[in-house]
Parts: sequence; C-alpha cells; structure tokens
Amino acid sequence: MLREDGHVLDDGTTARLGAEHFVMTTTTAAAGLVMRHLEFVHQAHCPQMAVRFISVTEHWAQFAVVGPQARALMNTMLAEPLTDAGFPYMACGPVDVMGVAGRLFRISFSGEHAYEIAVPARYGEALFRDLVARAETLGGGAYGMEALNVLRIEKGFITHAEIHGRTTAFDIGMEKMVAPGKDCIGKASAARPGMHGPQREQLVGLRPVDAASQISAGAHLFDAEAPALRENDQGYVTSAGWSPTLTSYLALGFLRDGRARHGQTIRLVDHLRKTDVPCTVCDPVFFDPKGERARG
Amino acid sequence: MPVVSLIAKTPLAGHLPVTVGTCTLAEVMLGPVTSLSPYRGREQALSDALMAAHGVAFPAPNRVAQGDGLRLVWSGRAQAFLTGAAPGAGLGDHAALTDQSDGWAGLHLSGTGAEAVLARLVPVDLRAPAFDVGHCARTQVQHINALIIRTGEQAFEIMVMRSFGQTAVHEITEAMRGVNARAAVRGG
Repeated sequence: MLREDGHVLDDGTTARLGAEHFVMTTTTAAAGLVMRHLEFVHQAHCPQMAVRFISVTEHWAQFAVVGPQARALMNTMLAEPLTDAGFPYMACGPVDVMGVAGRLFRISFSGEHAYEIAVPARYGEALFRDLVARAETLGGGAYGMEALNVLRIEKGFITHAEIHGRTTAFDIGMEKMVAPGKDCIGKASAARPGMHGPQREQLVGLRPVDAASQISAGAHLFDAEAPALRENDQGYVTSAGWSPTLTSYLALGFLRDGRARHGQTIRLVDHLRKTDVPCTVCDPVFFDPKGERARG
Repeated sequence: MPVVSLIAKTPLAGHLPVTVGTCTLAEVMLGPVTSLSPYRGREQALSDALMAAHGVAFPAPNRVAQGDGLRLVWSGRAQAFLTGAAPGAGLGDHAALTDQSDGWAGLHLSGTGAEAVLARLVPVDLRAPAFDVGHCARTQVQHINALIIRTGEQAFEIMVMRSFGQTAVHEITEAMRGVNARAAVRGG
C-alpha cells in the first residue's frame, strides 16, 4: 500500500472471502494508520463507493502453524482434511476446527509451508494450548517473535525496519507488484524523476565474509577502500540476526544501486558499537529462493 | 451440528465481580454483537428492515434503541451495534455487517458514586441529564477505546475491546478505590 507521495505506507495481505467481502491484514504498528487511510480515501476521494470498514482484530484469535508437518497437524483438527490441490498456497476460506466455525489462510510470514487458523476469540486460549500440545507430540512446539524474526530475515521478508517511510516499491524490489494495468494511490508520484534508478538505495542482503562476525542494524555501508565518513556513505543496515540454518550472521539493508552490486565486498561500519566488518552483497532472499517450502 | 470440542472463555473470566464501598463492577454477557454500517443513501431502508426484523429502528447518534431482548447501540459514524440477538434476514441488502461478538468485553458499573468513578476516567460529561438512561457515547476510559451506555440512575455499561478488558478492570477498580477513600475521609 503506497502513500500519495509514492512511498510505501504498509505491507500486508488482503483475503477475498466473498464477492464483496475482503479481510485485510496490516503490520501491527500501522494498523491504525491504514484504517485511517482507508477512511480518508473513501470519505475524501470516492464517497460514492458503497463500502464500509471496521476492525475485526479483536474478534478473532489467530495462530500460525508452520513447518513440514503443518498440514498433517491441521488435519488432526479439521472436519475436512486439507490437500495441496484443494487448499493451495494463498488459499483461504471457512473451516470447521474442532466443531468451531473458523477461517483458514495458507500464508505465513515464516516462509514455510504454513497456515494461519482463526477462531472467535473465546476459543483462542483453548485452541492455542491444543495446537502446542499436538505440535510437541510431533516433535515441534511454540515459537516466538525472535525466532520469527530470524525466519523472515532468511527469506528477505520486510518489516517497518525496511519500510520506514522513506522507501518506495522500487527500493524494496517490489515495483512489479504495482499492477501496470490500473492506477492506484502513489503510482504517479512513484514515477517522478529521482524516485527510481541506480542512485536509489535498494534492498540487499548482506553476509559477513567471516560468517561468525556479528553485524548490527543501524550500521552504515561503505566501499571497501573508502574512509568510513558521511560523504562516502553508500547505505545502511535495517535488520540483522544469526541464522542457525545458514550458520551465519545475515542482514538486510539498503545500498546505492544495490541490485547491480551482488557479489561485491563492502564495509559495514557501526560507529556506535565500534565494529567494521567486510560483507558480501547478495540477494535479500538468503534461503529457499524459489519459495518451494511455502508451495509444497 | 458439529460438537464443539474447544473450551470457551469469557473476556473477564476470573477477574470480576469487584465491590469497593458502594460500587460494584461486574462482567456483562453481551450475547451476539453485530456491527451494522448502512451504505450511503440506504439508511432509511436499513432502518425499515430493522423494524421489520427486530422491532427497532436505527438509533440516532449517541442513542440506544431498546428492543425485546436486544438493543441497537449507536457506535460511531454510520454505524451501530446490534446486541442480544443474531441479525435478521435482509439487513445485509442495505448495510455491511460484521460479527463483533468476541471482540468486546462488557462491564457493568453500578452503585452510589458510579458517576464519580467514571468522571475520573472518561472525558465526556456523563452527568444526567446530559447523559441520560438510553444515551451512549463512543469515548475513552483512561485512553482505552470504549462504548459507554447509561442503564440506570447509578448504572453504566462499558464496552471495551476484548484485549483491553483486564486493563479496564484495573483502571476502574483504582478509581473506585479513590472515590471510596474520599467518601470515607469525609465520613460519608
């Protein structure tokens, strides 16, 4: 979703549950902002449209069930078993889970083969405890926000660390998601001179040359031979973490003309924490680049 | 009809009722709650459909339309909550409907001093006759988004978003203690 000035407002999902019924998710931080934006667009730009909005966040308790055994686990709780063909990646719809009318979405910020199961909030505690118990029986268990953050960095999925209000769809590599066949808010502004091109700081992945060198968000990027001074600043790091899957520190950041510089070595300098780490610039999707896990 | 195998819990199970001095805070079971948002120009058609299905018309701003075992509570611009009954047939032709039943925690504050308790937490003037029985306000309880209904001379129903329920109990209970302590100091 873009602002009128062509920068990214928020990153979320929209599920079509009926011909005239959509459920939109947003980032947590921007939920109120997106609600306000929808109301403003409707009231100020297109009041003739027959559409209404309301938050349903509180009514639903929703949980992510992720990993290679996600479908097997869900099938122990659903009245109708899932198949890959019957409920493919990005499918959504009503389900009966343990006798409760719920909703199922096959999508996840983890990048795994995964589902999000929603039930009315009165059943939330009971469903979560049951899901965790079944997951543990299968050798898994509950996972938290830090683990999710590692998974999403490995997959190059962005948060407001990356869409911080000064980045465009072009910058984050999503310009192809702006449909060419129709207009939308922000499209014209995003086409202005200076809003795209090699001078823009573009989303890249960064791996320390020495995999065990800790790298930090907030560090700035410099050419290998350049002094780490403001005038030589090439970009900055937005997210970083240790990946147990790839046994390396990984980071996401923005680098001037970044997409043309994959394979280059640059200096990652954190002036606050006094670190200076050579890194390789690469694609921000470090793991499962074809998205085969999610579609399996 | 499938057998429900999940245990249901109310928003404030185990936290209420609380009595401090003359005031009591208790949980209210709201029953089904459905939001009704008439599309532009369909307000009268929705009101007619509500009258046919439930015997009440769409309420004016800040008013509750009381029916037989159900209410229509004005909840904001072009919006009202139908509580106590599932929505009847035909309403969806004129309005957007959503199920809000599990999204709200219902609290009932009653007793001498209830008005004084809420005065500490709510920016809107809740004194009669500015806020009479059958009036409602979409406002805040100590920064928590709330829908407040006056149900009696010293009785209010307070709806807050479900996840804020326990915080609302805490804030209102603190205000109850404050009002009660002042009354005790005055010897009243």
